[in-house]
Amino acid sequence: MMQSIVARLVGRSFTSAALAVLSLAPLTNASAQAAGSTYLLAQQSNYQRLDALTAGRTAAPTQLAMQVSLRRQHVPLQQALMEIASQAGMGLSYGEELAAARVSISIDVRNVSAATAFATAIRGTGWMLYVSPSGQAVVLRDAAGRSVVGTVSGSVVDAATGEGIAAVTVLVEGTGLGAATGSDGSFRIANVPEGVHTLAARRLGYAPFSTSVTVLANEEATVAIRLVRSAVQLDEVVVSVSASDTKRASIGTDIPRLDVEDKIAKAASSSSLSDVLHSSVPGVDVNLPSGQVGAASVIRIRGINSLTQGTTPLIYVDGVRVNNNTNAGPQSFDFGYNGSQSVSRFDDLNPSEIADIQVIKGPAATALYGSEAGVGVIAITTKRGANAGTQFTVQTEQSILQDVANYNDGYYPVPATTGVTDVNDPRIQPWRPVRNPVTGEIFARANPLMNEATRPFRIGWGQNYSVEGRGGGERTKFYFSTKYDDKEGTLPNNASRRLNLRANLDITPNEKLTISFSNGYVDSRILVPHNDHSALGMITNGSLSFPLYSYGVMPDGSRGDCLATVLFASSDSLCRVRQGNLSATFDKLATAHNEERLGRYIGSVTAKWQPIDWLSTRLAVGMDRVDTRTYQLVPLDPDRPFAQLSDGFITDGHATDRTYSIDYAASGTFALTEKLASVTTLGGQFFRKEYEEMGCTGSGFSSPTATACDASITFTGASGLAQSVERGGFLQQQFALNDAIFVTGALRVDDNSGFGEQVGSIWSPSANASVVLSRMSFWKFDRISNFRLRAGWGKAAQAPSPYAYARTYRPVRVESGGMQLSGFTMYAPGNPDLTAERKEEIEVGFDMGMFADRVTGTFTYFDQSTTGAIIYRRVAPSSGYEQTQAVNLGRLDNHGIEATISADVVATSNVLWNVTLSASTQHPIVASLGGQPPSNSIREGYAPGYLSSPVVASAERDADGKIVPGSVVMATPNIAGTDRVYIGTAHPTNEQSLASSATLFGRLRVSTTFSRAAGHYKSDGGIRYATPFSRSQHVSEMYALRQIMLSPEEQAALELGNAVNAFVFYDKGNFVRWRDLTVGYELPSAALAFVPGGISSAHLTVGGQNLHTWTAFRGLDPEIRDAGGSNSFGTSPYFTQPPARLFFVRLAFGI
Amino acid sequence: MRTAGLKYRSRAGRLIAPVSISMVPILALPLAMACGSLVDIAPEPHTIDASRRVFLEQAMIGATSDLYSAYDTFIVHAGVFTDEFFASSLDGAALREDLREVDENSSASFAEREKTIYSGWWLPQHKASVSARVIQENIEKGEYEGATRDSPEYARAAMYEGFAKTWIADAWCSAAFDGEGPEYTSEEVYSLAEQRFTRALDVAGIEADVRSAALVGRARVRLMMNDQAGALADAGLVDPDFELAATYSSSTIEQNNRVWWHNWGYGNISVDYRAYSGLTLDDTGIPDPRVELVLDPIPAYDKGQPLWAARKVASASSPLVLASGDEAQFIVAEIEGGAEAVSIINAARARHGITVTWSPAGGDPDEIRDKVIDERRRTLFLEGTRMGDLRRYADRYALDLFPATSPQGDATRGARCYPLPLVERANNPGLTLP
Repeated sequence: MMQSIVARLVGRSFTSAALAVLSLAPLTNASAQAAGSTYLLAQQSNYQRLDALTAGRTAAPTQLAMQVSLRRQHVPLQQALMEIASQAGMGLSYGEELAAARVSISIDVRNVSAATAFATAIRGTGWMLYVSPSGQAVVLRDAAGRSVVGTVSGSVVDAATGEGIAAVTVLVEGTGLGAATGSDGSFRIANVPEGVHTLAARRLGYAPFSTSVTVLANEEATVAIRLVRSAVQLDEVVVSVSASDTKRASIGTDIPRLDVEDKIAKAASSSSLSDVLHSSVPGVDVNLPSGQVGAASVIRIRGINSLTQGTTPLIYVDGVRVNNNTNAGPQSFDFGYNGSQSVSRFDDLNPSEIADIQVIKGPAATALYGSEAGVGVIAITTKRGANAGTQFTVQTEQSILQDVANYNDGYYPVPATTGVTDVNDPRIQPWRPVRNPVTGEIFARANPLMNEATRPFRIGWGQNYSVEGRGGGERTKFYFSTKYDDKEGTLPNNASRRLNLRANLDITPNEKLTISFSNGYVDSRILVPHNDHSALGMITNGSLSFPLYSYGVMPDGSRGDCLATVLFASSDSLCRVRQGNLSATFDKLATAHNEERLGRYIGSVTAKWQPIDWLSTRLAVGMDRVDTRTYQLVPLDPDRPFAQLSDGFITDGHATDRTYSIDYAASGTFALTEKLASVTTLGGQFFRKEYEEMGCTGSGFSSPTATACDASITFTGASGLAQSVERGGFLQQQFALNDAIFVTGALRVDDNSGFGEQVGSIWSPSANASVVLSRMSFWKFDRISNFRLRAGWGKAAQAPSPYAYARTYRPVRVESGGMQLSGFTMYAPGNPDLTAERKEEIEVGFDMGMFADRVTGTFTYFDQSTTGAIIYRRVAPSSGYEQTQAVNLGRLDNHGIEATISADVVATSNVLWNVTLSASTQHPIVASLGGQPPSNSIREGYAPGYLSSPVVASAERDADGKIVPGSVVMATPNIAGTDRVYIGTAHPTNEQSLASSATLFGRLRVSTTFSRAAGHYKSDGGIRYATPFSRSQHVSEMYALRQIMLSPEEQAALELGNAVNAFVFYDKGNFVRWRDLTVGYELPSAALAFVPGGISSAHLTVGGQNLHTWTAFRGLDPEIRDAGGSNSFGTSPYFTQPPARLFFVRLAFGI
Repeated sequence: MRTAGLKYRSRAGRLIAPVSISMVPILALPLAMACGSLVDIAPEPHTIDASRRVFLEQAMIGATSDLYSAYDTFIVHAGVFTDEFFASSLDGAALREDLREVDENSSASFAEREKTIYSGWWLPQHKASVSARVIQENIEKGEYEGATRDSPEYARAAMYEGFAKTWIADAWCSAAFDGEGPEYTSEEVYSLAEQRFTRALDVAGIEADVRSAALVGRARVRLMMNDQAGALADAGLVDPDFELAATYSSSTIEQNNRVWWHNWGYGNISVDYRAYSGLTLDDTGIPDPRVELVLDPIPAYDKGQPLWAARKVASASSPLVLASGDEAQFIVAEIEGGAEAVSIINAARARHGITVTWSPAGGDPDEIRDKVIDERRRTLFLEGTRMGDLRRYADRYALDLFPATSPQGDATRGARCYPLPLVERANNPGLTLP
């Protein structure tokens, strides 16, 4: 074997001994090879092993006592040794073999002896330093010719509870070796080089841990790691545009991170990602518009920050942008109203395969994320493999869903002509009669939604099954999962089935390059019932009940006679048709079919390459393809209400939505001085979105079995294509002083195809600073273990919707001579000057930990302003254009705070009780409409979606319960130029959540969450039907009952009706909801010993969600609304189904 | 033994390769973006270059569609405002039109959702006017290859614009055009319409039906402008049998005849039975087939008033006569009066299959005028002339034939035209808010 040596002349001590090393002859005979170069060196040159020297067995050269300091990250071993040798005035030699081995280390020593520094640098590398008496050092393989590897194993537990912690990353520093703990917290790392190593453990929610471990050849070292909880994770790596790892401490904006795996383990059903995110991150509103299975949630970050362009944040999955539509799926057929529930692309994702979610909140932080990121970014990271033995988790969750809403009764005034004059008249007792104490009228009541004999609700059964596995080796790591989720809603035509598959792979060909593949596929089918503003809604028809045509409920619960038969001896034919509903029985409505079928693939490849020590690069390429079919069928059925719905109706649409992403960044890290470091990042992104659709709409079938557009009497087809492109680049510069003070500045340039022809690129500057005071030398406050101040400023953008700038025409047809001739007509005027909304924000805050992080807290204040807010300006109709014109005229301001405080109230060896309180406020206000006229939802000086109405200040009732003519006094309008009184904001201005989690004996965990929203008003479009608002049709029968349900002012406002256009049912929307209660139990190992199949852990969890709501709101529920997941400002429900109550049990096995 | 490593490469040299390679994506990104297939996007599917020659035919079809949409909408709303229709449901907008209390904020006058059931009608009239004007302008600029001021399309577009402006003059108290000022009085708008009809008639290549329609239109506006000689001259040139109709289709809702839709389909307007129900010929007891009504047994959808439907517009594809020799003849009758008018009345009856003839009881010109007015409303029932006629009768003959009450008994407000919509005034830079 040729042993070649390359020598470096370092300092002054290039001695003859070193020259002797240089002249080592090739070892050519077998004995010499067996002895190895170490032996030869020792024999010929009197070199001594470093560890022998430091142990005092041999006199050490004086240079080894020299004081040195060195701090380097991921540098070649030889470089670190050379720098130590240089500081100590020593010579150093090493062979080509060392360079070829590409050993990389990190070292951070200050004012230590050169011997210690050498030992630290070389520890665990498999190499050894030999030092001559004169101070010349040479690097050679350690103990060549014999086995030098051992194993490190052990367990990671919560320091407070002793509970094993899953998914902890355990690393042998400097070796690239590591493992992830299994569900019981155990780990095992093989092939660890002999020597003393630093073993590090990292887990979100816990303070970083490291300890020294001595590994002996062919032996197994056991380490017990106890992690201490900590909410202050300053060294945690957070998502950023940089190609190199970015620690939380270095960024001056708040980027909260949600550990999804932990959240599911503690408190959540694993079924919906919206559920998981709900009440989890302050400032992130996840509103649940409906209790329907599969219904979309509205997601907003820091409230409303756009008047027209939507407030749904961008969503990234494993570094690539994905579809973020929360208003997808079939919409209810609703007579032109906008109300109906929708489905969300956010909920296509399987929570179980997600590792964490990070939220980049405001423009101060999103300025570098492109021209569509102004409203915020949600970055989702899926689970990855680990260098450990293959671990499997098999899990099942079973749940039941129960409608627990209290729907309103319907009232029928029983005419005295029927002979019923006594409320106790036995004939009407099955209708729970009630007398109006004012007028004396007697009312019969019916409630098809609450009547056990007629109510349409069922117990919705939910089940999901999942298998996930992860593992890998030093070079390759993998993760896969599959999950089948099947849920029934409480209404018979509401269900969801979803199959999620994921396969992630990380390949590390060498220590400088990692290639990560992410592949996720979803196949789902969601049945969305017609509800809300739909004439086909069961809630609608049941709420607008018609007691005269209802069957009574006998004392034993059995069905009685028809009220019309009892009172008027009529046939019960209408009771058979309606059963108390407005127009038809529920089974007639259940045949209306509303479905979305979906196939979706999200894939990405991310390459991280560090070609040289100071340069890190990242290239991510990905796509999201969503194929959907939305199918809405209302079969021919003459018994169904409303003529056009009886005839039948169909829409059938197929759409493909593709999003392509290319994201590249290169970061250069330089140590400008010993204390000052610099990170420079240059990057660019490219996004392309394409949307294609084709569909048809038909009405009127000749057969009840007809199910296609071309089977309808009148049908039309349509197709559409929309594309958009966004591209941008940025430069970011960060300086770090003493790893405690960080200053970052950045500038981004973007172009977007949504900009008008006259608009060029836009620039987005940003800057932020972070000062970790607790790392400063002057910090003496022991009780405050961590304290960081941060501040950020940035200017982000939100591009207009595609083609909003374009002047467009609309196809029209004329029939002539039996021919259909096609032409076009003017449609939208367009705006060549249309550009992005600009969002500017200042954010300041702090993070702190007290009493060894037993109490932690964060606080953030933000103040943002959207200028150039896009408003749809009316154009003069005489121009001939039908549509409005998008113009950058508005301004929207918003400010608020976000705070979290978390405390381990009890932390003993057997009990850990943690309480976390989060709070946020938002105060969006329309500062300017640019001269455009206001509307009843957008007006200068008021919050978007504000509520106002003419208000009856006082009114009097006479003895008959009627409003005294002339007694009505209207409140003085306080909105200039209108007859309206300002009621309040429609959206909560402050929200809080309280989460409590107690772990007992390391095995039993009880968690619960409460959430609160307040500061707003809300109305319910459907409640009017419980207290009738006009004399027409179905509500007239209940008219006289107002006197016992309403104040005189409310009654007057209702009776004045359109005369004053006063709407009376505005209530404070405040509510407190008991979101969930979960109990989990980790089975002891002893119990598992009897279980075959190698099960290493088992966890049983039972829980409930939506357990109770406290509110003064008179509507069905204070959180729901009829506009689904759309970005409209409307918050009113309109026969919307309230959230159902969920109970689940989950069993998870680790194998 | 060799000396290995990076001995022969300087530090800078060692950096060049990896830095260069790592920068490739940054350099490649703009190149990739420059690649057309990546950054090019398809134009919005509904954007067109309306001036290209190949689009002239489609532009004409579009203008025709706009005119037909404007026309049926005009008949509906003008009908509710006059005595042809009334609001049969509790539809608020229709009720207000019925009571002639429509103000400048009325949603009925400018509803953006033109193609929905609640169609406004300020916008449709202007769409028809603008689309026809744009075609004329593009022809004048030579944008359409081969099309000139002598092309038949030029004449047809001018005729379209003339009718659109005529309806605007008939219905609105004042107007503005093309998203610009100034504000015109009805009289000025009639004058603009007359110019457009004249422009059409001056085209060498004008088609026969377009010529006749333009003559009828110009005669109508000249009658409104009290240019009796001009009106008489134009009307006299029109064949009494001439008829040009707007066509509709049941194929799509958008192409449905809105008169049918509102009257028969949706049921929110009813023919005013007080003016048209049970009309017989000269009180003979013989039903007048021109105004035959059907009492729909199904009341309006929200239990408003009884629904009387017009047999004349009995389907979604029923055509609506846009211009006719009948109207030309009645213009002559109104101006000439006397025996000529009697003759015209009886000839018109004959063309509609009516064998009953009429003769005046005496020689009172007012009797003949009143008969002309009555026969005109029957013959031109739901043909878009009643609004202008009632305004003319009131101004010229002091005959207020607008209903004084709604069928529900509420007094109407007495307006004789729609005010300029506030939405136009607020967004038209050539106008000022009151």
